[in-house]
Amino acid sequence: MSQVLELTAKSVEEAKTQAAAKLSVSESEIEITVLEQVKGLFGKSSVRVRAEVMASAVAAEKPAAKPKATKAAKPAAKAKVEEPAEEAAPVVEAVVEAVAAAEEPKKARSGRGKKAADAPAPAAKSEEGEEGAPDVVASAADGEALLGLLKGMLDAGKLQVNAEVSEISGRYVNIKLDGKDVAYLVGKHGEVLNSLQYVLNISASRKIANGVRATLDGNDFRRRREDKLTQHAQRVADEVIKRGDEAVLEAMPAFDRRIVHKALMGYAGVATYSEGEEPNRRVVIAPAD
Amino acid sequence: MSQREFVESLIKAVVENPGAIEIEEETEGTSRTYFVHADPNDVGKIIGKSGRVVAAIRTVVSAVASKDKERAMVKVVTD
Repeated sequence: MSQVLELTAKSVEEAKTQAAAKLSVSESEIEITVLEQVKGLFGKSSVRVRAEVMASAVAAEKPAAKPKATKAAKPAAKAKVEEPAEEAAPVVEAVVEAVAAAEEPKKARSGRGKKAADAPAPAAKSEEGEEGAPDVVASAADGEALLGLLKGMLDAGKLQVNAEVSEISGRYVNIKLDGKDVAYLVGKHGEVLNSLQYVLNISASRKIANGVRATLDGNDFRRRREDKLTQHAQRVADEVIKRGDEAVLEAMPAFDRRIVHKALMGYAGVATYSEGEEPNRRVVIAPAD
Repeated sequence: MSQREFVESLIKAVVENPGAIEIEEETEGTSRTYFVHADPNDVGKIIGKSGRVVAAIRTVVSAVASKDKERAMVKVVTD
């Protein structure tokens, strides 16, 4: 269902622009997989990528209130609706939480061949780098308090969203957002959602101060993201096996990287590790040797 | 504008002394800039390590502004 294209350009950005032009969709809908990267001096670098239109991501960004704009829509129409979301979420501002537990092997930053560097920490969803409070168990009252903080922040925004506690597990209170304007709060790849969650948790650490944390979800984004990343990871892994050359994925937050590592943990023929510095840390999928 | 209150509520969520927060707004066409004045002890809290907190606030604010097809910038005033 998705259109795929391989091309070579000077930079990933450029490749994206070219791919967008060729596939006649907006840049934000293109998913780039770096197949090969040649780093040269004086702008001689080149990068070969595979570009594909993200059908599922497009659907993810559309609120339910806009059924017209689902993946069945024409690329041109998609591009149009996509516009505001793109402005809303400049990629450089992707703010993510460094997950202390999952990021422990940071010392092994360029530790090549390190298998599944990001250990599967149970709390990798949204942690604020604080450790030492594993026994905190959130109560229903904490859930309400977090919800109150969130609502206090959102109310002034005049958004049509509703928030409610969907689940409490350990120190994590999962808050579900729904309503007409949720799509704005999820943003591209959940960037806005992650940012909001970050701010909320800082607020919680100052105002509630007992170690409880919130995870936000809207439009079932988290689960869909996991499915999509898993599929993507396996597709790239197959490519890596076929080609015998490593692939570098785009930069993502710790809990997204964890999904990729997890997806490929039992996958024969490839090994994964992360390289780079937050917030530009990327997963590398390499052929196992 | 409600937009300003929204910025204010996000900022107030991360500071110790919300009473000292003052926000100035400047409009230029469809883009607004919010200048945040805070207790000097809170400036660091608003900005965060490597600007992470303020970057998160900006992301959320621009997302909400984009709903009204506007651009929004948040600047923390440091003296």
